[in-house]
Amino acid sequence: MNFTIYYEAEQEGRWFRGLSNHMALADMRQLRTHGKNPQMIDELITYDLPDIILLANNKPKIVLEKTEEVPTGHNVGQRFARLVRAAELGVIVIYFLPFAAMKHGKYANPCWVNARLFGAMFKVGEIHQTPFLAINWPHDEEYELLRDGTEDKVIKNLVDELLKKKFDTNAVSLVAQIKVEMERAQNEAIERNRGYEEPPGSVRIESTRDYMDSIRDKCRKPDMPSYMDTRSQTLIYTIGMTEENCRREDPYTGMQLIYDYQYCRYGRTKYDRKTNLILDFPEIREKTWLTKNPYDPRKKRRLWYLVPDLLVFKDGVINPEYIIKSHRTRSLSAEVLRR
Amino acid sequence: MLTEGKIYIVIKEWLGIHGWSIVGGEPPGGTNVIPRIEIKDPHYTGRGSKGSRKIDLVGFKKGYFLLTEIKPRQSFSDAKKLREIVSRTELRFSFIRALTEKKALPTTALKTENYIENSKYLVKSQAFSVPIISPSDDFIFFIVSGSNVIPRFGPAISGDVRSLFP
Repeated sequence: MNFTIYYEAEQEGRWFRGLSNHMALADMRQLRTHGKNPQMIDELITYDLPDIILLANNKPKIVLEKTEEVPTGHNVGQRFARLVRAAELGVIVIYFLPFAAMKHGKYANPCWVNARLFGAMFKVGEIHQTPFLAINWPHDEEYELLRDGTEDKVIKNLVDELLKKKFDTNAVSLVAQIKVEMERAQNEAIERNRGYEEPPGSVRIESTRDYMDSIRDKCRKPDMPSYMDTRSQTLIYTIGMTEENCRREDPYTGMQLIYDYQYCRYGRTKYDRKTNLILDFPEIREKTWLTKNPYDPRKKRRLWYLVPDLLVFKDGVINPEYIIKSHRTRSLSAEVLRR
Repeated sequence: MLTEGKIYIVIKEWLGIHGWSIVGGEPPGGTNVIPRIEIKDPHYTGRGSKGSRKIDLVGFKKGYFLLTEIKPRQSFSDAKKLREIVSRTELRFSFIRALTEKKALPTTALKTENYIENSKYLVKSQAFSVPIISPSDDFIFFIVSGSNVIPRFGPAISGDVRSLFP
């Protein structure tokens, strides 16, 4: 089997190659921005760049993300979108992260992973029928991360086994063990904070009819997504950005996917939702938003338009599908004129 | 011109070959086995890391810490940052505290007060690939080309420090 490792940072590419002797001769390639890689790689990075993509005989097999940050609070969404994309395409996802670690500074304390991450990971794995695995970066008794090589023990075993068994995850017993560990960590997180059993403060779920009535004055356009009325419930994710700081994506574009999978989705596409997903920006005007975050299929901000059913502003709404279609039409017209 | 990531890998390996222990740092765009050393601003009392300074690579050899900032091109703002960290007592204190918290001190027997009271054991350096220039005053420049590293010493770098790069 021939292996190719695409990496965002070279030291991580080297670290990954070192996880299994099978990859000793792997071809190492730097990931480039969207649109500048082979098509199958660009497909995988449609939402965002992951740390590692492993190809076996030129087919994507593993997408891996490694971080030493414990995903707590809102940060949990920052890396999520890039991993969801891999699962959508049936590529095994491995997320190597600390489930707990010491946070230093004036308010030094151990902090634990947000339980919602596991909930969403299980749901993504189930919907896309693809292993979506979180592996704990272990810590010592004072919650300092281990960095003596022992931290890689589980991930080494997993990657090595996957390679040996030609990526047949049913033949790798460690996969089931890792899922048990994830479930245990999720339950512990909920035990510590019962708030994880409910949506967070920035999210509310309402009857679609009541919600649509409440924004009726803003919805005078003829281009509203018609399917929204067929879903009885609507999830509203309120994003408190102001007009001054609204030119950004993280962590919101990842968080919308966490809430999408936890509360809205039952199937593989955004149309397979039982609950509408709405992004609400109460501090921002529609025009300001479009000026600062215009749809661009090559930029990460495309996620603002690819995922939700509707974006709601202080003075109006945007149907993301309409924006994407308009962009495509303009691009096609420009192409025709060029020819 | 080499990328920041490539320079990071080359200089880290080169320092290791020359007897330096890499005790911390922050690799460009990724995670590594070494702990991130975040020098907190002593005047900032809020949550988060506002005003904190992170160093790309921290090495240790024979009682000296080497603080290295990495960029494809030599950066004046990086030089300014290192000057600030090394010259201010409270930032040297934060540096030692960050190493202690992350269990990254090279030895438990280290007399940490020496590094807080005196700046002479903290060596400022920058690694880059262009332009090929000589450093001023008390900096070391590592000029990285392919997998080669050429150290260039500023006139104020002592003989003791120069001897750490045989």
